[in-house]
Amino acid sequence: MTEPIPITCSAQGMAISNEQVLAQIRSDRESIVACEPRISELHAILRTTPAVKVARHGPLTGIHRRILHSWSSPTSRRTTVASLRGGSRPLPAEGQPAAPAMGAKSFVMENLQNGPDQLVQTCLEQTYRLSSQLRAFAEQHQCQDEPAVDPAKGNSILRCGRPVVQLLEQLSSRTHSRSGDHGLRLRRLDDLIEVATEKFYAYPFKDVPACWRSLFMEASIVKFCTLAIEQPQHPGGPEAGHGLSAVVLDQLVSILDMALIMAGSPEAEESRVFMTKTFQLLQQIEAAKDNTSSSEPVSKRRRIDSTPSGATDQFPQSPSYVLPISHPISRIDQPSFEKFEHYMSNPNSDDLGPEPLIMTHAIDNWPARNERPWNQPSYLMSKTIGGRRLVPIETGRSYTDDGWGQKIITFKNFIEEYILLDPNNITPERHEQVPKNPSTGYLAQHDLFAQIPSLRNDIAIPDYCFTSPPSPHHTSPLASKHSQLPILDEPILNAWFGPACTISPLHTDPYHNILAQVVGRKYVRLYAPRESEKLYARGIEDGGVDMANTSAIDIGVLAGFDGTEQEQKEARERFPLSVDTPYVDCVLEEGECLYIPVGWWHYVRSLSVSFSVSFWFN
Amino acid sequence: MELWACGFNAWNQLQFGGDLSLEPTDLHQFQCILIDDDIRVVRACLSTTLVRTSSGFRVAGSADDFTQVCMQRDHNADLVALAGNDKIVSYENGSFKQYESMQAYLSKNSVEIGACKDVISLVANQTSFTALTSTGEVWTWGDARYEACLGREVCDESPPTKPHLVEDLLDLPSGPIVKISSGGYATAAVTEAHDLYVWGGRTGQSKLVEGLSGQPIPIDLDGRDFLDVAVGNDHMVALTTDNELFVVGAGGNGQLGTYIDRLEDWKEVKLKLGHGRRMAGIYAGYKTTFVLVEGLGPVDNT
Repeated sequence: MTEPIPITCSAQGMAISNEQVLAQIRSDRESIVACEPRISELHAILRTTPAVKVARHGPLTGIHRRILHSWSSPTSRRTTVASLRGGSRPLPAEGQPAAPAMGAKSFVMENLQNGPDQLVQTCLEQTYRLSSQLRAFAEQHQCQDEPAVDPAKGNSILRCGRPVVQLLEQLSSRTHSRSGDHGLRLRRLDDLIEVATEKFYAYPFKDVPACWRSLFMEASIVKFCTLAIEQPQHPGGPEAGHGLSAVVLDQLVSILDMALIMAGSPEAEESRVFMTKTFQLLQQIEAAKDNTSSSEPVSKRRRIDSTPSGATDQFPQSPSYVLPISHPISRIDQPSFEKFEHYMSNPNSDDLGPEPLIMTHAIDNWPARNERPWNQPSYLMSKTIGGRRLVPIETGRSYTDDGWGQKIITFKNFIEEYILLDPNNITPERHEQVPKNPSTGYLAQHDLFAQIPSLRNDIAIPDYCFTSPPSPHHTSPLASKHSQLPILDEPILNAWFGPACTISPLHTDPYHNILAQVVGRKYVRLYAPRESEKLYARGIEDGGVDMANTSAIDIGVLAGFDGTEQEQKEARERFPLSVDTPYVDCVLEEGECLYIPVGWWHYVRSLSVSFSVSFWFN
Repeated sequence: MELWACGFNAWNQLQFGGDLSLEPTDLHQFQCILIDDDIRVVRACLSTTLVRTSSGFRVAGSADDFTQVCMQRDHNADLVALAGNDKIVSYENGSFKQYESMQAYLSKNSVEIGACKDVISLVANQTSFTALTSTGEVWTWGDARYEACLGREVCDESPPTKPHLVEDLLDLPSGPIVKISSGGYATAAVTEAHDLYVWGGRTGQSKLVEGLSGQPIPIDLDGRDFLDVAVGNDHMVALTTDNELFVVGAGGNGQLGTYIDRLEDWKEVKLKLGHGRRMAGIYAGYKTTFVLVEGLGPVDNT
């Protein structure tokens, strides 16, 4: 049976037990009005976050997506991917004006200069729209026994049943009119979010009815609006001129991100527009705050901002990890589109198919490597509302290890606890700063760019992804499976961000891949599809999880990078066929791209803090 | 007879008639919510409470589709159950009929999943079903992902999705099982001679009671004898033969009858019953608890 992995919660990098979380939630409930620091929104939901161990790169792929909001059927890979990325229901591009929810009122917004006021206005419009819409749905429901549910109209929420729809309608309407008991309203919204969360467990992930995702999303949005419209008064009044305290901002961002991560992109067009618009406003509010925050005492400022004298705004430089390269992959300097296509279609050996290739200088013009530098923590923080955005991360060495888990934490926590303080990155003089729980944290295979569109503007899809690659090579045991995948309209993007020594165990992917190394270096070892039978692929495992794309071999141990000589010897005895299996390898340097043909087995290991972007295409 | 209740009340599901609040608050203390010569709780779910009184059905809160059908069809509510995953099972003519959804139930589109003699009670939690026969046999089936809810071994001969006997509950020292209750990810059973057994649990969720697992375990509260048990979504209530009420689990919505948010261990809660009254039975809804109170004496519904 499927063994869900408990997700631990982390506040300031410390694992918290359920009891502590509950204690925290208890105290938080009481302190809603008092506005004590709280991150319980995250905890409350994390406590019950559905999680299951899965093969990361299977045809379904997208571990977080699969675990946290993979609701579509296994065959509709693209719908799954599209959920966060936008895809079939794109979030409006940033910078593009959001369509006014209510035409008559839109002029008001344009005249408002103040971010918090605009935020309140946006929330008033959103709750007005939602309550009107739900009322209309409810009337429709009364006329028909079985209302026609049409996701295109964003009305699948009707399937939650009349009682739920009516309650949400009332809560939304009272939020708009600022009437009734604020605290009780928040309580009821939490109740509804909990009902939705319970359904995420009650059904297998792919079968969770769309209505419960909608409920999670819409109740979260109303909760956000309730808090944004009626902010509890901070002792001493709101921070001069900015309205929103840092604590409220934390809370607001976490409510929306949790909804995005748990429920996927909203079904209703208006809610998607609301999301985009709201994140922009929060980003503006945070930026305005930052400009005036220099009056704060240094001790109060965020750790990342306050770089000690002499230190620079950079990720830690790792002790030089040197891994021997035995069968180097050839490098070519930014090949043309035609040249690359020719390379793929005319392999040296027909028995082998196209081989891996490193392309240098192909991403030199990316803003991420120039004026919007991803190698500066402060830049990344500035793009994530001061590090407040939530990201799903994997904890543990490798997804095939015991003790591997996942959690959702703020970007700031991730950077501070897992990147800046990662034990592998700590120089001896800073050893006292090693966190108490030195587990590796890896933001892996997450479509960060759908969640945070402004980061998407810092990169560009390499032209190579628009070539027509050859079909999966016949020597791959998964060739027929991979051939059946529909042609992608556009490449699938994923971010891979972590400290040194993150490991992706030996596996294959269902698409051709351009792996762009934006920050840091990675060791990659690849085996051709024709070697598959020597690589001890795993099979269907507990709970029906298909791990056939993942090898049972720990390359780190086999190659002697990890473990003892004895362990290496044991690995060789356990996987004798693999010992002399030919492979190619490389250290992918910053600024380089690696082409990984579909079906090629690859083992990836970061040698420093590393930020890569993968582009899957077919 | 009186019906006392506490817990989640977002839809006024704990108030029969009278002036209904537009923003009802949860009841954190047991209150008498209904008086009648005869009261039986038929069904209590997320938004509604359905009871049968001497004068017929009474509904509190906002009735969902299933509750409405229950009233229309007026069938034996003990022998039809709705799980959290929308599956419905009914016991008819010696066999279990499973409906994949509410729609399937309305259109009577079912699959027969097994036969069983003399079923007297059928209950469901989020993902599993449990049936009790007149001879005290307990049969379970449901979602294989939550095997612990089945309380039995799962193998080729006894697949998770088909009704199968819970062998651990046969030949118990205190006689056969006479009562079952299920909710959330747990199920509980009381024997003829008043022992209480529980099983279930979901990885990642804190255990409802200590030791909760896929194997039924007896609950020992200093040797007390149990008369009745009720399992809610994340709380459990047990009534002893000495007229004591014990609660455990989540209480954030008042379902424990106290202001405590969560109880890791059983705790007794006292109802302000009038003189000469005793608790005759208990029932748990989603996040609600009901107590049936009998006995002569002045009505005290403060």
